[in-house]
Amino acid sequence: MTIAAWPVVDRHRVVHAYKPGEPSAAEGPFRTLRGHAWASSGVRVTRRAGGHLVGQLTVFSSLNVESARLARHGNLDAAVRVARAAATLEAGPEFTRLQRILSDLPGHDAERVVEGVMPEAAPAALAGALKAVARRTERLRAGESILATLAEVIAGRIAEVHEGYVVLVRVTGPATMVPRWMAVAAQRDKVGELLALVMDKLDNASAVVEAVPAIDVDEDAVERAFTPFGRGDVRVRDLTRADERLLAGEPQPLRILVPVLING
Amino acid sequence: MSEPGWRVRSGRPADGDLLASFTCADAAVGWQVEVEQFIRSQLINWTFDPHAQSGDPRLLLAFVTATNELFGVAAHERVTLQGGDGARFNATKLELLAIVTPWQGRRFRTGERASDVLMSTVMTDISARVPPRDARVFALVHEDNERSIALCRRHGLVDEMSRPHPDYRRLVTLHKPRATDRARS
Repeated sequence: MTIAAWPVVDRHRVVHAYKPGEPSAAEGPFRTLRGHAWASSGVRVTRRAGGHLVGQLTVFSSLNVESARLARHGNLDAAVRVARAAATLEAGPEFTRLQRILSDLPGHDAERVVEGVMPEAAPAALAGALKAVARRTERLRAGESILATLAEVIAGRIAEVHEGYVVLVRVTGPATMVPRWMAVAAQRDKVGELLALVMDKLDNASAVVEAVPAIDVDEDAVERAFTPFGRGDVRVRDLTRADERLLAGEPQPLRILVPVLING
Repeated sequence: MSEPGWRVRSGRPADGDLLASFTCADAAVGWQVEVEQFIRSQLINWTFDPHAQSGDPRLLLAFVTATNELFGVAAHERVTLQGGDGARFNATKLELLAIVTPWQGRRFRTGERASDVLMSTVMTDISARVPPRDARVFALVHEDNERSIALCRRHGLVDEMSRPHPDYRRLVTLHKPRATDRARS
């Protein structure tokens, strides 16, 4: 099992990483991040009900949290690189698939997913899509060595729940006690659930500690399997934004090199 | 005018026995074996699945006129490609195209490649469908399948979409930017 932080976030999480302790709904900090290319634009999810538009939300790759943190620490070039990686991820097939699944969820389920909650009636494909985004996120993170030293992450499974704390057990390594209210805020306060603690250093004696939902990114057999044949695999028909731009062009007439007569 | 060296017809449910012995794979190459197995055991069901007829699935068989030997199999159907924001594009998916092992890389006496005859069969069939198919035709090709990639290119599948899986390329017919897009850029 490989446990990683939840791969998608809302704008508040990005702003919080940039200006911890300040109101995360403020427009200014996010404008600053975008203005310096320290954050990507995110992906807009349109929610419909009965054929009508009922709302929109913007979903960001969690890499934006890292780029915002880098910007706060003054690593501005790295912030730009990581934000660019976030934009690449958001334009890729994994994110596109997730975007479409979120668009089809009823009510406010899409917002809940971004917060780390899997709705009870969620399609099976949602978990796979989130894992695919999380795996891609981890690969991109691995390519940016500075992220390994920027914040310490303790990710694991909740093994015990007590009145005031939960016990978080890593896949390998010691257990950690986490205040229960933090686990509740991260939507992870039950035995077996996956949680990550992110310790973001402020100075030599202090840090911002954040509890965030986590996900097991290992592929299951179904995710690994891919066949180009048949009608069962939606990946065959999924388009990215780049694909859409390509297909919006004018398809050229079919090319027939050899005259052929087809009988029956 | 002499008769061409090939003869092509649509597939029938009774062709299952004929396809059950179709051989096109090197047993050591997984993606080739997958093609062969699909042809042998699933292609008839894929073509005649009553729940899939809205996609107009088509099975095409190509024979050598002189010997009546089956030298190639191809299949295609109409699909809808879908973007994350709800954008939809009608297209034809080239489900498969396979040449039996003895005919791979071979030409007819008149010079035509067996693979070009089969791909031309597919394009001719797509062009003739009623209601008309969209001119967007795409194929999923294993990245190591250089022969099929070259074949697709010869027949106009020169643009490339994102990969549905790291091992598979998604080639599609050429698209030119529309006049409005050109004016904007």
